[in-house]
Amino acid sequence: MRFMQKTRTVRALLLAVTAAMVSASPAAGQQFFETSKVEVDVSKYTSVFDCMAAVDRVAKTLRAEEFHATGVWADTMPYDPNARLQPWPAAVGETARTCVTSTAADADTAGVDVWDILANLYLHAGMEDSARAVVERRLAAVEPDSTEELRGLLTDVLFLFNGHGVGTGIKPSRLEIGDDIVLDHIGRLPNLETRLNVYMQMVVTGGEDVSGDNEMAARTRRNLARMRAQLDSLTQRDVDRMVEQGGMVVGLTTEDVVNRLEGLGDYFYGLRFRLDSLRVSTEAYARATRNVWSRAYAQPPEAYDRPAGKRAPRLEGDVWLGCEQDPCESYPRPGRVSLVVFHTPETTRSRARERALPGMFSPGGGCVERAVPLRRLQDRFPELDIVVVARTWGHYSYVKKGVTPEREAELMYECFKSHGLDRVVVTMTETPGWRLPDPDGRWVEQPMANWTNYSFGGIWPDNDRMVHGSDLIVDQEGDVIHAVVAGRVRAGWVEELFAEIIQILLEREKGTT
Amino acid sequence: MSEAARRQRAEDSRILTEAECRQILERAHAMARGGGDTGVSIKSWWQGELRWARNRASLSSDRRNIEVTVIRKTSSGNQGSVVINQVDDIALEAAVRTAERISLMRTGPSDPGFVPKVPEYVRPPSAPIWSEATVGLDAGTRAEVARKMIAPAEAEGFYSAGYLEVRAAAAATYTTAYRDLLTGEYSPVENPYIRWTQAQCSNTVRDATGMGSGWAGLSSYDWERIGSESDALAERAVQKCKASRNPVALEPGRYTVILEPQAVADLIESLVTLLGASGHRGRESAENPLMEHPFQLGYDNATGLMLSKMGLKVVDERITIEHDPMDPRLGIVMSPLERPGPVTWIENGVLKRLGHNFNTGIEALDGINGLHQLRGGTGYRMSGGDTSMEEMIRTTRRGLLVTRFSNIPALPLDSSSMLTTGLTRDGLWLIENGEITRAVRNFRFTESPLFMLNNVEQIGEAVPVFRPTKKETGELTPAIVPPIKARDFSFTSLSDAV
Repeated sequence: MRFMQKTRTVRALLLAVTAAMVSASPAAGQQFFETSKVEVDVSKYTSVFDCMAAVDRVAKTLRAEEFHATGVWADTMPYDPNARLQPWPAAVGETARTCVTSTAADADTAGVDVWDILANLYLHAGMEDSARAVVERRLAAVEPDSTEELRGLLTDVLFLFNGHGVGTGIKPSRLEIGDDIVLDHIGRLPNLETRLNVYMQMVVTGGEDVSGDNEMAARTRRNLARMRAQLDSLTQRDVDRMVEQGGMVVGLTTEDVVNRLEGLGDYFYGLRFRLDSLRVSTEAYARATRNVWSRAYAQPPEAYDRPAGKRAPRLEGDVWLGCEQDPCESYPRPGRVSLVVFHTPETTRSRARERALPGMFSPGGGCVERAVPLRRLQDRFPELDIVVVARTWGHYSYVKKGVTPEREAELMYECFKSHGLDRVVVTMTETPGWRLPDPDGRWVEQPMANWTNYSFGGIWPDNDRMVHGSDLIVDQEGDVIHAVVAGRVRAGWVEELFAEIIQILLEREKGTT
Repeated sequence: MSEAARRQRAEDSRILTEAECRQILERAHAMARGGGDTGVSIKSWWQGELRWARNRASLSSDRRNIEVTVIRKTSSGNQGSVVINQVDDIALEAAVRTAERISLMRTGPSDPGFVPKVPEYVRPPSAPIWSEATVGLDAGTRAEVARKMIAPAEAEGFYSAGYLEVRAAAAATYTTAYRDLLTGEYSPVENPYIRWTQAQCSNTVRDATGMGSGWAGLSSYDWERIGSESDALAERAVQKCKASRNPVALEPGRYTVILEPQAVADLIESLVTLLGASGHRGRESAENPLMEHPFQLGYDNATGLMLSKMGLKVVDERITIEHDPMDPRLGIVMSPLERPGPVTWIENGVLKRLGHNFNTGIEALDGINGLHQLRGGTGYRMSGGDTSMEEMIRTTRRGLLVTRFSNIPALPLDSSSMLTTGLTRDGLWLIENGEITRAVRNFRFTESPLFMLNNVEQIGEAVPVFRPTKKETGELTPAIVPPIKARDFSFTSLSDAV
């Protein structure tokens, strides 16, 4: 406990120093408004709903205060897989504890209709036994033949203990308690496929790549093993019932189902094991990925619908900006690790509008959410090439007059550079097409080389995702390693995965893997 | 204080002036803490009304309210806003504090990065929308108008029920940020302060048996235009009531109809709404293969696009439906963001434009409609002809004269054809051999405005009709519509409505 307090003190000092550094920005001289007090007068609160609202308020205020102390937007922070293990500040738990005890909420007598709120409050308050008691009472109230109700409740229990309960969820998650409760009651489910469904939920809830060395990864391994143990006892009758109820392909055998479910587990939770093969070669990584995918989806490996292992086509462009030579050499450059970013205004349109200047619309053209994680990758890997692939839209944000392809590229380049992406390369292709005659006037687009080439024969990305572009990592030989649809690079874990892949590729080049 | 001065003072305070709105911004900004920018968006309205029934006033009121949205964008870079309807120091400061707290509670990028400068924009001119006569109509004068409108009905032993309303509203948006961008084409603060008025008056007269009913009404931004017609409105309602007594029942079926301008406006309301973008009813739905729209043409395999009927004839070639902010007889609140200038939706029967909102392929529409929203369904003018009502009646062998329609549902029965239903009200007469011969019991109709506009025989002079906006700060929705004689109008059952 003393260590934790010390850590907190050091952290507070760091925050203060950071805040002082931030105040040297153009915002210097501005006086921050003192936010409302965190303390909540819970003596006036009379229900668990009031208590939950109080906890929400305290948690949100503290989060905002931290944001303003650091000046860093939480969503643009590098992904920290341990973040969910960090507890809420003490004030959150204290509010829950004071409120839940003063409202005469009793774990043994409170109505089970508010079990989820009450249990969440108890967990915030550090009263795990009470939380468990409430949950047990709710589960005990389920009639023996109410299979669906019980299955749903067990899923809710997992969400609750994973920190996704009603209102502000708990931190850190207490999935070990949730798992215990679920395992105590899962035997009440009458058939195997329903139990299997809950076991899968246990894997998915809080699921972590099984290669990790943290507790969550270990838990995922345990739950995958539990699911596999259930699969071992799967009978053809169970499979037939699953086929009937789940709309699965008729004619599946027990082995098929086992293979698929195990394959899905490996595909989604064993990515980092496969990255080991990337240390050997890109081909080995692509082969391993195809094989696991093949098992998960019961398709031949050749049908794998991701570009991993395929040769990245040379990018084309009418306008190039930011490249190191004039004329630009072909990208992705041989011998370099490249991050190819297909960027469209659609990717950021809605958020850009929300965050527009006061009283103004900013329809599209924004790049902040794309730029921030890209800048971090750029700063982390000086050897990395980041190439933004764009097409003309005839305007940039609300700027329409005089917007040539060159000007559109310049404006986009300017946006990325304004977020510190100094080494980004932008290639802009004039969108080919024709305009329907008046009065319709719509622009009918024609296929563009970059988009066509990078669809790898139409497998990637599908049409719905095309509008959001995609991001691909290309190795020094020009082969695609990994691809995600755009926008997902915003997700911290994708950025972290990209960083891991880039790191492996650079180490492989130096022979240090 | 003299009576005139007292009245003037009351009138002055009916809505906030431009100076008062600016002052609210300055006061709010002075209360701000934490740097950043402050904005206020203000709506202010006053409404005077008089309602009467059974020849006696039943409601007289003067109401006013303000709605002030206080916006604070602190150094967090995020925006917080609070709506209040009091602007005393305590309320305003509380709003500023709360807006700041919301701003600070939000976590987002404090630096938007590179933002291009908003292009310059020249605001197009508009016709007058403010009437001193409207804003000056006090409760006493309103009562006098009502008394004069009731008198003719009372003299006949009839009962008059009516509603008179005058209204003034103002909207203002100011911000301390980016003052040089205030005239930005895409900035709603392009109209820092705008004010408008609206007046309406309608009168229903019933006989003692409740079987005869007449109606007349008008709306305009300018009370002068209604006030000068108030005697005529009263007289028309009485005459219609008198003439609609002792109706006979006719067989439902298809009849040639002469629709008075109000009946035309009632029937085509759903069509006018469809021309706009509000609620994704315009181009968004006409070109959406998953939606049904009367102006949807079909899927084009060559382009892979759903085509609309734009460019095709959709109604009689004598029909034009347009909207011009410069039209002095309309009086439309100018909103450059949405309605930058004149728009012709249907020209000589050909569908020329459909409203669309900002997200509908703005780039695809570059050079056609710019980046504007192009909405419809607000104020409009429909083309007229030179046939008098008398001529229409004289040339009708057998038909019906319709005063107006009611109970038309917001959604049509069939989206593709716009088939809808409703009731005739307040006067329906049979025409035989060029003369009105008797009053007729009301019908339920089942008809499409598109069918009616394709069955036009004669068109009369377009005149202003009764089409007030309901919301206190709602924009004006005037309409100028002609009477139309159309064949084969479908009445499907008798109605007990009067």
